[in-house]
Parts: sequence; structure tokens; C-alpha cells
Amino acid sequence: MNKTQTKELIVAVAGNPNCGKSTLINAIAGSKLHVGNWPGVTVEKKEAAIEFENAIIRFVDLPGCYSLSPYSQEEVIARDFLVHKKPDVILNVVDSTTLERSLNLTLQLLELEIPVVMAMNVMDELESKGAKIDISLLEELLSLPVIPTVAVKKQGIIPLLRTLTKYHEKNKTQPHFHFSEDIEEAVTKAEEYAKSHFSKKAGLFPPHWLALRLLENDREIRESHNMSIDPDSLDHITRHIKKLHSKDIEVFLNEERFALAHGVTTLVLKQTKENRQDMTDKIDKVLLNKWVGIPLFILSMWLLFKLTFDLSTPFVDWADTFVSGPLSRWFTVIMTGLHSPAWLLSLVVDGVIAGVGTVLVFLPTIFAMMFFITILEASGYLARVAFIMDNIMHKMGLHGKSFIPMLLGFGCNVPSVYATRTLESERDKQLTVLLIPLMSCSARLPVYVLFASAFFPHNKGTVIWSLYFLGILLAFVIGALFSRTLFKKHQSREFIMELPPYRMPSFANISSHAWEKSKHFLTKAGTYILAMSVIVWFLFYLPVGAAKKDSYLGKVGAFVSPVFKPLGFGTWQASSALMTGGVAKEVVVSTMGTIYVPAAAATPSTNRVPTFVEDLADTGKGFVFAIGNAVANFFTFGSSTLNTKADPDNDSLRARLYRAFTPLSAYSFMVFVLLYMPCLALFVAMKDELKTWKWSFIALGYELILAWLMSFVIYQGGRLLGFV
Amino acid sequence: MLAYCNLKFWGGVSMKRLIEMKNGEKAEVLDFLGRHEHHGHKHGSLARLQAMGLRKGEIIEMITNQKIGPILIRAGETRIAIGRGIAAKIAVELLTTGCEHE
Repeated sequence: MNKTQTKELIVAVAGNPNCGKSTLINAIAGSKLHVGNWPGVTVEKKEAAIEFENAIIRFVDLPGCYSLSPYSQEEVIARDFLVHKKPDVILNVVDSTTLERSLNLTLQLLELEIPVVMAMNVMDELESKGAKIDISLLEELLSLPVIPTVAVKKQGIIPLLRTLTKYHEKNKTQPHFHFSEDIEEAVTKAEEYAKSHFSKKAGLFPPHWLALRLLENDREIRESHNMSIDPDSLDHITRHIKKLHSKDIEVFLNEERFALAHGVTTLVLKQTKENRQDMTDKIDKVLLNKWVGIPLFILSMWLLFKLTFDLSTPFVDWADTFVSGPLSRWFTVIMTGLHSPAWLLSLVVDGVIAGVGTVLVFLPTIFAMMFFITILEASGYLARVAFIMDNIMHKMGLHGKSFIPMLLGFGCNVPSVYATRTLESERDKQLTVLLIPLMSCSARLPVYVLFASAFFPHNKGTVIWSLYFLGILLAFVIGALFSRTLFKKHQSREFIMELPPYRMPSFANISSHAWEKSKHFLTKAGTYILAMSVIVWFLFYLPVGAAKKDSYLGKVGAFVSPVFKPLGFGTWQASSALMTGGVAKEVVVSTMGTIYVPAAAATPSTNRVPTFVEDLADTGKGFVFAIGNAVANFFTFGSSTLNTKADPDNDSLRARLYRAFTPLSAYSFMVFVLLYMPCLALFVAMKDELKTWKWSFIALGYELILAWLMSFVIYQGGRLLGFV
Repeated sequence: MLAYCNLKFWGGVSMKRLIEMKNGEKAEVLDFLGRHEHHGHKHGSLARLQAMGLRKGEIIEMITNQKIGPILIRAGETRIAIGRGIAAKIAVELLTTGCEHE
């Protein structure tokens, strides 16, 4: 109503990586959070606007960074936003347990002459360590307001919001902290230089800040904004400092900041009781041990897959029954009632439901997988994996950090290509990106689950685990090969990484992240997979009246199939499924759904069709039963449902496959699907991240060759050993 | 006892490189060797370590050093894993627990 009272406030949220920034923003904004990308780059950008006491507060989450020097993409993004968008307030989130280091960033933020409010986060952890921070002394020393918060428990949010709105009213600018006299003198000279030499451009920057950057001969200011002090004048201005302190001004500025951060920390941080009984160090002694670490990691991965399948299988079975039974029947009834033509009915039931539906039923598995991967990430274990794998990774010419994007690739390869951004060198990035497709993503899971439950019902988890393991193994081989050939000229950078303390992640937090990641799968189902299902249906049912084998899809499949003959699956069905699966690997399953499952719409069942109410009741009962099975599996390690045999009399896809493949050719097929090519989205993502198509094509080429060779060795080798 | 410690100190016996520290030992960071070796690379690995909290004068504790693989140190509440190559470039002065309390 009263517009004059509603003011809008832009708050930039800055902090170190792992400081709890995201959790704090989630706690403040909740569902209002909007996640996008920074323009031009794929670094995640979170934004949220909330209303608070007659004000609209607009939060912009900056990428986590340790400093504002322009040496990483995250830092440049953060700095550009602060300098050019001039937010009203900076909310500096600080992990109270790493105060001294965090203050380095705080001091750099203060140089920007924008009011800074500090959220002193994770206060509970600090207190449990027997330490205390004198908040009011800290406020006085830095002359900024400091609000204690515990983001995970949503503590301190209201006082924080109140301070943000009030502080902005009172302080349009904030007194920046001053360096020593020698530097400030030079700064004044540099400011004058800027005013006289590039008056127009300099006006876009805070003058004191710009002067400091000019003194440092900042790369980004020099190259992107074309501003620098000519060498003679710079020498003249800084000669005094160089002579007196015999160091570069950049080093000098850093040292002054470090010294101040150290001094302030010593004054405000009070250790009330000696407490070095740190759990994290004790756990690390075991998990990082050179003998125990890797076996424990392999065990935990095996457990991850086992739990994923044990818990999700009952739900997948339930969804499968629902989609192939009641759902198809309901659509048939409704569409027949609407007098839709037979071809349209067939498109919906045999194309879309058989295609998209067959893939969608695997949502429980994918969600469970994402859930457990998120636990690894949030607990702090993933960083340890980078540590224990470092030595092995060196053998393939990379260091431990590269293992993190690769492991995240088990969820989905596309975001893990973007996650390679944390690697420092271009060479490490390129090599890691090339290896990521070997990490079996959750899109390949539907294929494995389908085949493994048909052919290896007793050892399903182990068979699937073996495929993941094969992928990792091949990544090492290929990595070693590439680093000795393609990347021979370059050396890997050194391994440096912060290991966050172990934290017990909350169930709500994990499931919301897992859901966020699984949504990508749903989007794919509604777009790529839907489109491919429709295309496959047309290719499969055209020309009109042709036999299956003579359809366009059948013909193309039959043409390619000789290539797959030595691999054990030289049928036109398998060949066409593999070809359509290049778009997204789930499509292998959806195509098989269309090909193998007899056209439901064309052959009306002669059996008594259950009524709608009966279907609904059965579906409900089935769901309750599925929950029971999942719980039972959890406590019995999967023995409850994994003993069920594939029923050859059943008309489901599984049973049809049972007739078309042998266990050996099924395994060979799964290996081929694991390796044969990056999906379309991944192909594009590789180009997106590495700026050239070169690597996408290299990946495509080596994967096709590798897949064929591996399947060949497995199938022919298996036959020699007497398997069928 | 005091004399012995002083002797150790003056004799430079307690000067070590980070990579030579044993588990549980504490030390003060003295210097980053090789920072001036390659110009224009001031913002390489050593500068990153400083931004992460490993600075001159900082007291650190060795958590794990296992002869192979990276080492793990703790500086305050920050745990940093460091590759052996870089760890060899950091000079520290060992704090012998007996002397610290004198």
C-alpha cells in the first residue's frame, strides 16, 4: 500500500568455502531461493528476495572464496559483482572456528567501502570446542556489527535481518581500515594519478580500492579495464616502500592484512578450556591411514551401492507394476472413451508410457543414489577420499582433487564436468573431463538394474558394483595412457586442499539436496526421453503395416548389428536401442520397452480387466508392501527381496530380455552401455567447459573403441571359459 | 633443561622442513622456500596456502605424515592436505613440548 515505506536492499553474501554460507541463505530464504548461473559462466548463483519489516531484502550469494585477488574465476566473479553492482550491504559469513583466516577476506571486503555486516556462524561448534569469541570487542576493533548465528539450527536469523536493514540506514559507507602510513601515502599518490590519468573510468571504482589495485599492478584491472600506472611513476611512488621494507607492495599488503587478522584473533578469541579431544583428528587417523584408508573407501562404496539397490528395488518393482498395468489400462480406457484414433492410442500407450514410463520407474533408485552421494559430500568424507586417492591418482598423472568430480560423476556426469573448475590447471581439467564419462552415472543404472535383475537376480548388487568398479579401473588405465601421450608435455599441479571437519548432516538437508539433483532426471524424462520415445515409436511403427523387423528402426538396427555380433548382442533390437541411447542412456531402456513389450493397445486382453477401484486398491497395497520390503532389506542386507527369481512366464520387459540374451551377452551389453559414448548433454557440457569441441570428439572416439574392445574381450573370453 | 633447549634452538637443530615432521609434532612456520624462485608465480601454490591460513608464525600440528601420499596438518581449526612436493618447500621450527612450558 504505502510504497514510500517499502525500500529495497541488495545484500551480497560473501565468505570462505565451507563457511556455511549456503546453509545460512537456505535458513533465511527457504523456498524463495532461486538457483541460476552467473552470466557467461556456469558457476552457480543463488538469489532470493524476502520481505522483512517493510523492506525487501534481496540476497545475492557470491561464490565462496578465500580472497579477492583475481586469480580464480570464483574470485573474479565475486569481485566484479561487489565493485560494479555496488550492493547496499555485504553480509560476510564467517566460520567462527576459522576466524583468523576468514578475517583476511573480511579486511579485503572492507577495502571496498561498502557497509559490511558479519554473521559469526557455527558458534555452537566453537563453544563445544571450549572457545569463545568476544563479539563486542570484535565489533569495536573492526567497526562493524557482528551477529552470532547457527545456520543449521536457524539461530540468529532475525537479529541478523534487523541489523542488515538498520545498519544500511545509518551507514551509507563504512570507514575502511587503514594500512600503515607508508602504504597510505602511496595510496594517496596513486589516487591522484588515477584521477588525472583515467578520470572517467576511475569513477566506476571505489577510489581507495582502485588505488590499492593500481599499486599492486593488479592483472585484472590492467588487462580487462586497461588501467595501470606507467612503470616509471609506479616505481617513483613505491620506491620508498621497496627501499624501506625490501618487498613487493603486494606482498606487503598481504602481510599487513595477515598481521591484523592475527592480532584481532588473538584479542577476541578466548580458549576457556583446553580441548584437544577432537573427534575429526581421531577419525582421520583411521580413515586416512595408508593401509586402511583405501579398503575402507572401497567397502563404503560397496555399501553405498548395496543400500541404494536394497532400499529402492521394492519401490521400482511397485512403480513398474503400476506403469505397465493400471496406468496403461486407464489411458486405454480414457482414450477409447474419447474416440481417439488407434494410432494415437498406440503412440501414447506403446510409445510414451512404455518409453518414458519404463525409465521413470527408476526414479527411486536414482534418488537413493543421489541421497547417499550427498551424505558422502556433506559429512566431509568426500574430501578425505581425495586425500587417500592422491597417491594413486598421481600414477595416472592427476592429483587427488580430480577424484572428487569423478566420484560425483556417479550421480550425473554433466555437473561433474562443471565441478572440474575447482582444479587449478587447465591440463588437469582436460584430462579429468576426458575420464569422467567412464564414471557410471545414474542414467546407466536403469539399464543395469533391468538386466541384472533379469539375469543375475541373486547377485544384483555385486554385478552392478562390478560395472562401477570396471569404470574406475579403466579410468586409471586410460588416464595413465593419456597423461603419457596426449598430455606428455604438462605436469600436474601440486595437491592442496582444505579438509572440512566431519559434520553430521541433517536428514532434511540431505533429502532436499538429493531431490534437487534427482530433478534433473525428471526434466530429462520430460524432454529428451519423451522426444526420443515419440521418435522411436514413429520409426518403429513406420512404414505402416510393416513387420517389426521391417520398420525403419528395425532396418537401421539390422544394418548396424553385424558390428555387435562378436560382442554377443548382434540383434537389430539391441543395435537400435544402443543407437537411440546415444541421446541419453536411459533411452536404451525406453527403446527396449517399445520394441520388446507387445503392443498393448493393438492386442486387447481377453482376460478379465480389473476395475479402476481394484487397480487403485492393488496399487495402494503394493506401495505399503514395498515400504515393508525396503525396511526388511535395510535390516537383512537385501536378502528379503533379492532372492526373487525372474519369472519367465511374466510378460514384462525383464522376461522378454531373458529370452533374447544370455547372462554372458547381457553382461557384455551392460559393459558396452557403461562405456560406449558420452550422452548428448555431456558431449555439449564438455565443449561448454573446455571451450572447444576437440575434447568432446576425443572422448567420443576413445569411448567407442574402448567399449567395443572391452565387450569383445568379455564375451569371447567368457565363451572360452565356458560361460554362456 | 632450559639450556638444552636453547642450545637446540641456537644450533638450528629444531629447524625442519614440513615434510620431515612426525605425527603429533607441533611447529611454527618459518618461511616458504622457493617463493622468489620463479617470478610472476607469486600466486602459485604457496600463496594459496597463505590465503588458506598457513602463514609465517602460524603454529601448526602434523596430523598424518605417512611417508607416501599427501600430509595433513592442522593450523588452528583449519585442516589442510598438502602434497609432498610443496610440503618440502616449507621451513618450520619444531616446538619441543618440554621447552614450550618453560
